[in-house]
Parts: sequence; structure tokens; C-alpha cells
Amino acid sequence: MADASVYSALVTNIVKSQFDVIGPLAIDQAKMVNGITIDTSNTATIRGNGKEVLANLVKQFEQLFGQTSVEVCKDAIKESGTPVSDNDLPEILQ
Amino acid sequence: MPTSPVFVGSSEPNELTRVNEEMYKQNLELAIRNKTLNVLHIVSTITINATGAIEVSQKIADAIVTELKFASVFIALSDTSGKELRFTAVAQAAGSNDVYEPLLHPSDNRTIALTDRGNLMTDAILDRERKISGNFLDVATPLVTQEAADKIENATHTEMIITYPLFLGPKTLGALTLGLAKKIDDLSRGEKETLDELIGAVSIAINRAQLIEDIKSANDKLTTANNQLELMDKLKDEFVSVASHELRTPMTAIKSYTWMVLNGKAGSLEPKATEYLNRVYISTERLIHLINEMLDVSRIESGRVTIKKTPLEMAKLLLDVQKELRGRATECSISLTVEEVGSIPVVQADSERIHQVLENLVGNSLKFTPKGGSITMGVRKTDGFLETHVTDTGRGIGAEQIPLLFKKFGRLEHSLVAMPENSTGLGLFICKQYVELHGGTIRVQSEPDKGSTFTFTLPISQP
Repeated sequence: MADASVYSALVTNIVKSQFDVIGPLAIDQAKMVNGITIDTSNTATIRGNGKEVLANLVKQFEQLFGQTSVEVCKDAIKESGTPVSDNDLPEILQ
Repeated sequence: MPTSPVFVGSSEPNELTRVNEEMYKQNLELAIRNKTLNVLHIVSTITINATGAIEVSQKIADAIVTELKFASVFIALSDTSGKELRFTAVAQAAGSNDVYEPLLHPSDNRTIALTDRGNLMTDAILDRERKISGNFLDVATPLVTQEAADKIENATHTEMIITYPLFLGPKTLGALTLGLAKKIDDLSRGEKETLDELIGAVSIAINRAQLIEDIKSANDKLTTANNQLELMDKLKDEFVSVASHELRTPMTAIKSYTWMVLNGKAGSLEPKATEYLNRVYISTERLIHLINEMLDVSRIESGRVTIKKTPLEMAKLLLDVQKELRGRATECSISLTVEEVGSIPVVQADSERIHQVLENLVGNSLKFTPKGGSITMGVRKTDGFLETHVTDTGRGIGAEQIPLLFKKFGRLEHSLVAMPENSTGLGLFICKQYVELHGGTIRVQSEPDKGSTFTFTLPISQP
């Protein structure tokens, strides 16, 4: 599994992409996910199992906004350019 | 950023979830559009501010890397003949610029021939469609080796390249190549949409910059040509001035000695000799008149004319000119009169120059008014100006010839035939210049066979 910094970068990028769509609500929703901390510059840090935290974040958005928000998360991963293999991504993002 | 009326924790989850999803989709559309517009705005700003095609291409390449996070961007532009491509801009998210040197400054100054297939950019241009490759050499051939292309790929972490042809109508501008650190399928929807619109904006930006360069180049050439013309004009003025001075001295001597011989200072003359010498005398006068006018023009055009303003009573000047030219008018059986002048103010003017203007206008009327005709001078006060006119019952001037009147050598066709002597085509040009140097204007109203009225103004409130 990729290290925590990779997952932190992916979460940061997902929150940023969601912010572009729904505004500050994206940060509020991300903060509700266990294991995610977001600082004042909207940079995320994660604790625990990165793959699981990432999956929970995507599900948090999916629960409210449906499959479209999952696609935004997938695009955020693509645009981030962060090197991560498919195996390191949760199933919902594959 | 779009706003989102999101409902959280509702008592009717299904309906609210559907509304949330719908609103989210709409917001997503807006967000993508916003991103696209942001990039287009940046390109638009570059388009407005940059003036050269190379500068524009570099700024656009930098903006694409910064805003769209592509690994690298390469822009190659067609030369003016539309036969060759040259790389003009490279931008990359990471790595050193050194690896691009062979692209930007290829050995032997090599270029990519637009007619040769085998290069991804020329293929894209010839087929008018985007091309994709996994090998950077495909866009860099024949400028670099596979080894150099690999270096560029590694330096920029490029996995795939997409090349878009840049066109504007039938005009080939060049090609834009994007280096991706991911596969083409990994482009997001937003990135794809932005790219679709970006290519057109880039084409417009580059075309505009090239047009500005073309205009600037043409302007520079015109400026150079203009400078040369000004120099030549100055040389011509100097030549005319010097030549005229050199001519006037001997001509004055010829005129003086001819006058002396004609007046019996060298003994009596045979009638035939008197007739011939009279012709010499008249011709000499004409030449001196021409030389004087050419000297006037030379002084005017070189800015050497100074206007010495003193109080001038225009009514008195009209009477002076009438007195001077009455003899010539009587010889031609033309009446020369001055209208009764009421109370008019004194103007500040160079009396010698204005005298010359008036004398010239009356002289012209004398030339073109047939026997039995009349010439009338008058002056009146208008709003802030004194308006002086010379009206004759002469042959008049056609509307098509009026624009020529105040130009240098603007002598009218019939004037040569009708009255060849003392007509240089410079008199009215000089009048116009002198009047304008006083802050006045000169104009003419005329119709063929109905006479002419020349009017010039002089400002009253002159210090």
C-alpha cells in the first residue's frame, strides 16, 4: 500500500475538486470522515489506513451527491498526477 | 465557484437525495465551464498584452502547464512561407530547460519541413486532426536523436503526447503538443473539454501576434522609407535654395543691363532689336519671379519663414494693392475696385506677406479675367476673423480642379494656354502657407464661366 503522504495528497486533491463544485461544504464533509484532518490552507492529512480513509471520503460524497461525485473524485485522482497504482486505490475509485 | 443548496439530514431522504444529485450535476457543469473560462481568460489576456508570436507561444505554453497541470507543452510555429516548422516555446512542470536546447536551437539551424510526413506535428497539420503517440521522438524528429528524445521524456515524466494542429481558416499556424504524465484515457472530462476550446483560442492568439508582427515590420519599413524620403526632401530643398540664389544674381544682372540697353543707355536701337530685347526683358522678369517663388517655397518647407507681426490696416492694404495693379488692369480693360469698407479692426500680421498674398490673388484674377471684366476686393469682420475676398468675373474653375489649386505646381490645365506668362503654379500654394502661418484659412468659390471668389481670413485677437 502507498504511504500516508500519497493518500494525503490524493485526499487534498479530491477535497479541492469537490470544493470547486460545492464550495466549503466539501471541507465540512471531508472533516466528518474519520482519519482526515484539514488545515487552514485546505491541505489534508490522514491517519490510519489510507486506502480505507480514501474510500470513506468518496462514500461520504457519494451518499449526498450520488455517482457523479464519485466520478469527480476519480477525475481528481487523474488530475493530481500523484503516482498510485490501481491496487492502492479503493474499489470505488477503480 | 458555484453555489450549492445542499440538503443534509432530511426527513424525505429519497427525494432530497435526488435533488442534491441533480444540483450537484448542475454545479459540476458550472465548475467545468468555470475552469475552461478561466483558462480561456488567461489566454485572452496573453493575446491582448503580447506583441510577438514567439512571446505569445511561450506564455501560452507556461499557462497551460500551470493551469492544466500537464507535464509539458511544446509549440512549433510555421514560418511565413508556410513550408517549415520551428519550435518556439517549451514549458514543463519539472526538470531542467537544458534538455530542450536541441529543439529550440537545433544543430545546423534545421527545421521540420511541413510537407514531410513522419513527424507527428506535420501529420497532424496535413491531416487536420490531433495525433497521439507514446514516443517523444515522433514530434522531435528529425531535430533530435532517440536518445535526446528519451531525455526529454524522462525529464518531463511524459508518458503520452498529443499534438493538435493550429489553424485559422486555411492558414497553417503550427502545432501544439501536450506531454502527459498519464495515459490519454486518464484525462478528466474537464481537461478534455478545456482542451477542445483551448486550441481555437491559442490559434487566434498566435494569429493575432503574427499579424501584429507583420504590421510592425511593415511599419518599420515605412518609417525607414519615410526617413529616407525626408532626407531626400531636405536635400532637394537645399539644392533648390542654393540653385535659386545662384540663378537670381545673374538673372538680375541680365534684367538690369537689358533695361539699360532698352532705355538707350548704350545708344539707339533698331525697332527689331527693341522688340527682341523687350522679349528678353519680359522673360527675365518671369524667370526672376519663378526663382523668387521657388525660394519662398524652399523657405516655407524648411521652416525658415518667420512671420513678423505688426498692426495691419487691411482696408489700406486693399487700396495700396489696387493702386499698384490699376495700371495692369487698365491695360487689360478690367475694372479693379475696392468695396466700401466700414469700421474694421486692425489685425496683427506680417504686412509684407499679406501684401504678397493679396497681390497674388489679384494678379491671378487679372490673368484669367477677359477684357471688360471686373475684379472687386473687399474685407469684412466675421466671428473673430477679418475676411478678405477677391472676386472676379473671369472664366472660373471647374469643381474637379479646385482641389489642385493650393497645391505646389497645381496650375490648371487651361492656365498655360490662356496666360502662359508669370504662371508658376506656386503662387496659391505660397498664399495658403502664409495665411495658415498667421492662423487663418484660404478658400475659393468658383464655377466655370461665372467667375471666382478667393477668400482668406486672419484672426483678429492676435497678440
